[in-house]
Amino acid sequence: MRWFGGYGEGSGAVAGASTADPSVDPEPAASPPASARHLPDWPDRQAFWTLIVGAPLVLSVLRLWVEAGGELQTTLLLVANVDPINLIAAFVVTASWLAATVLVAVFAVGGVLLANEAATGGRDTLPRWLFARWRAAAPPWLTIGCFLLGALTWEILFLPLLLLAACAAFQISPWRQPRRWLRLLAALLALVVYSVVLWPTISLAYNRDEVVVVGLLLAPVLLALAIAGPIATFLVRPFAITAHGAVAALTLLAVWPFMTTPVLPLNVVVAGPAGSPPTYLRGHVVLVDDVHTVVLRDRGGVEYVPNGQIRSQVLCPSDEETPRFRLWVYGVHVEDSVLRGIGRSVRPIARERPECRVEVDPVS
Amino acid sequence: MPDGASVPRHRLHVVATSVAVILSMAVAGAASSCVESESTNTVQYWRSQSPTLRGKTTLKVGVQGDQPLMGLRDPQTGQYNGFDIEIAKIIAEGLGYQIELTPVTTPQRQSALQEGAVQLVVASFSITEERKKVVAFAGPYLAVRQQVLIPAEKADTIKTVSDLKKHRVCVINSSTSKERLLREGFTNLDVRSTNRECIDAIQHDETDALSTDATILAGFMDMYKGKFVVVDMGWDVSEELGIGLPYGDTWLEGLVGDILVENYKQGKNSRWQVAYNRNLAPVLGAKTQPVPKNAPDLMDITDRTSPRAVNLAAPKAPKDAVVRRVRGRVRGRGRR
Repeated sequence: MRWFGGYGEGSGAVAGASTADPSVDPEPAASPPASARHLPDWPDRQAFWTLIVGAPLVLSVLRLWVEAGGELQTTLLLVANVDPINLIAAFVVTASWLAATVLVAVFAVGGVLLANEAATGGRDTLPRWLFARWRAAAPPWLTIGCFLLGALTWEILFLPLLLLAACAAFQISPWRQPRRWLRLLAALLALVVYSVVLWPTISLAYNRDEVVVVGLLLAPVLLALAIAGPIATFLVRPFAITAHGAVAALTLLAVWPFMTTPVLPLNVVVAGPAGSPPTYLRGHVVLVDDVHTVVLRDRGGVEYVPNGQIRSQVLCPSDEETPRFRLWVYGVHVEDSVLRGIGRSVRPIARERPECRVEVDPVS
Repeated sequence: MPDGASVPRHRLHVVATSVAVILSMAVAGAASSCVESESTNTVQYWRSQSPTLRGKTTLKVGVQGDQPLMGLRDPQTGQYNGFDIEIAKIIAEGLGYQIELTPVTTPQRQSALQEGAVQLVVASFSITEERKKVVAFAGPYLAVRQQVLIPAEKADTIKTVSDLKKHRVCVINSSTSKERLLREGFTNLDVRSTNRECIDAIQHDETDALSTDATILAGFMDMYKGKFVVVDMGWDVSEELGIGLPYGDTWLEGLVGDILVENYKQGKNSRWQVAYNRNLAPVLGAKTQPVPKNAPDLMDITDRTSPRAVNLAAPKAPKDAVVRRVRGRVRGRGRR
């Protein structure tokens, strides 16, 4: 586990590092700080767990409120008819990447700050910065679990960033002793393999002038070689303030699309009495009983449609699923996650149905 | 560990890490903005901007019903068949709309678009500068030459342009073929509304020839096997057929162009090629799709699927035997 910096179990490394002079020896800086079990209990730990467990529940209910358009009666209709299991499942599907992103960012920033605190001899005291404290408090299963969740749910385009974050959070460095040359050799080999595997995508992106994609695929991997270790002392404070603010801002920015992502699937219900032109109801089917199908319409309001008048009902994709790039990594789109890539290999994407084009409810 | 020699390395390490951390934040910021930015270069956005498409689920597409191989209506079933019909379906399906085929004659093509009776016209509609002043075009989706259809028994008397000028030539009103013959100095034009009227007139000896696109003539020659021959007058200038669209709707123009580009990129596996091979290749020979002009490259939800996964089964062009047989009938390589 020393390769991973030994969080949570690297007591030997910590003990060894505690006697070193950080101004001279680079090793202690790269070594992990004390594990969670060596740190005193503090209120932040409770706050951390409260956040992890409580936030999804609160956000799920708030999403129903947003989906109801802020209307009390509509919210109550949704609450009465949306199964809590479905609500949690919808939350997991839509928020897993968000949770992984926020926690990965917290742990990466915390890892860098902890490395600095370790380098200045602060390993046995409470870390000064919040993210550093959270990083130290998080057990290995949580940190590793977050990164694994990120590996499955992040877009392939951002997986190099995840690698960079992992190197920061776990303080993985090829420059660390002992067996530095072996580590460097392994890092070089990994770089070569990475380049060979991604070369078709990188060269295609370069030929199409997709500079951002080239940068996102190459830069994080190179930066990962040097991310572990202490930063200059005068940079710690501005870095910590900026990083805390940036992660908070990122979370707030990510919460908005998450909150506005519907809980129920988007449908178009084609209905109307026999012999009359059909009406296209675009929205979310809240309830189907023996008599009615209840549609929460995109344009607002709730429609109770008699089941006998329903001619067809189609499921529609959301516009956010349109990709930005025409780039693939061995058949998997760079904007798909590994999970989605696996899904698409099982069932390819289908074209949008004509009924989904309806913006308002015209009579065709 | 350290000795004196390791100190500079340590400082270098701190500097390198500091730089890496700062750059990492920049990269993360760039990635974040990449996620947040909304692209307007998508099919969905362009579709939402098109005034022609707004609020519709069905597109009325103007097609011709009297052009064998291009657009022919079966009077028994009411069904349309032909290359133009398949192109119309490709476009409507690509746009994501149901299609309602609406018959239009050659003179009606422009007015139907201008009056809003149809949203698209796929009816051997040649792209010309004059027409571009009143309707928009996407394409071209086919390049054709103008030729002349004559009864088989007159094959020995009508071989050149000067021979043709001595005979009555049926042309369709508002067609580019008529404009060309007028420019060539033809004075004995028999102007009618539909190709069917011209064919009937030839059969009743009211006129001697029909001049229009080679694709349409090939269809009639195929329909009336042995009765007609096509004479190539050597008019080398190809006309480009385009999808007619309401004037000013550049969003729809881009969307249709994007669908044609998508077909063009798929090459021999494209639905365009399937349609051509099925309808026109037996009489006109193998051909590939012309390059669409001024078309944007829009992103669609299906662009998530790797091109390698797209494996449309394209039927091969039929054997050359049929093509040779038809070409063998083409006589009189006259020149102006």
